Amino acid sequence: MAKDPLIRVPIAELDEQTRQRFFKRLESHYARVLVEGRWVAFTFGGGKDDEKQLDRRARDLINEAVMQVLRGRRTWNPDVDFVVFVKLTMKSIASNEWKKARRNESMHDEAEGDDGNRAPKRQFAEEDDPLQLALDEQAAEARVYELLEAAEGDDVLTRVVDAYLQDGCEQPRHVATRLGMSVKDVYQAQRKLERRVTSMRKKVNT
Amino acid sequence: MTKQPPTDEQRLILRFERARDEAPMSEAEAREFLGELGVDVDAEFRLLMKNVTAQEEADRLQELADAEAEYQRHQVRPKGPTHRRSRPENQARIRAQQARHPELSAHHHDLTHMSDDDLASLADQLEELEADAGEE
Repeated sequence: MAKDPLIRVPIAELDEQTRQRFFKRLESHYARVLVEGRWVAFTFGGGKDDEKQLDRRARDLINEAVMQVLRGRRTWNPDVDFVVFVKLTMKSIASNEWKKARRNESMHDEAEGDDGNRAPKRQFAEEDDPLQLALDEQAAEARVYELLEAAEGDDVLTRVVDAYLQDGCEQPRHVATRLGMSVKDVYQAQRKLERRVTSMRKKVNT
Repeated sequence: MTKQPPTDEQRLILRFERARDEAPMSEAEAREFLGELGVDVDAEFRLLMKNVTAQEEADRLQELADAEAEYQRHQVRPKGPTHRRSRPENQARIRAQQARHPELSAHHHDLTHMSDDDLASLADQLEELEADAGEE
């Protein structure tokens, strides 16, 4: 089957058929889009939002991503995985908002360490990955604690989290080799962790 | 801000996030997952479509309003008189411009057979061109 040409003009100005195809894909992938929307909202919200705020924020992100495509500000390539496309669009929107919100913050923001001393917040500069910009030291510590708590009582999950802390374990295949597991099992463990983390957050917020 | 190496915790989360992209949930898993959280996926989609439709309608109305405003601005824009100069005045002005810019003569060497309107229009255009060139 011939591949779709890259669409470079606003969908709103395209034929009805293309527009319908975009919305059909959105509808058929909407559960995954929602999950990714919540995840992006959580990541860039610094983990401070409760479930209701996360739902609202995810809705806003998805809405904005769709409107950017319809208004021609984002190019939709039908050959790219639909959920990945929407997720990257949402990440870009969230990252821009995050940067705008912090534009006026002091360059010398400080964070208090375990020893009570104050030191400059450890953040990454000039990185391409927006997640790296948003992930300060405290947020990362809180999330690791959350992961360890979610893994508690499950030997496989604990080993997977521990493995990701080891040198040389950057990707699931490295973790799989280190633990003598299949990559598929590592993927499964990660999804299980994600579900447990979300359930924990729900319990905390209700 | 100085670039600093990530802490162990930051490294773990970044690795975990990237690995997460490699192992996405299936649509069925995502529905089940959201169901556990009390999220109705179909209702959420209907809500999104309702909002998108409303925003598209707002965009459309805004475009119409912008076009109407532009039209009104155009209507009230003061128009200069069509014949600011008499025919001999326009001819003289064009000759003077041609003298300053000989390359213009090649296209408009015969001014006697041009209508009054065309002469006035040509004089205006040459004035604008000269002004633009002066600005550059």
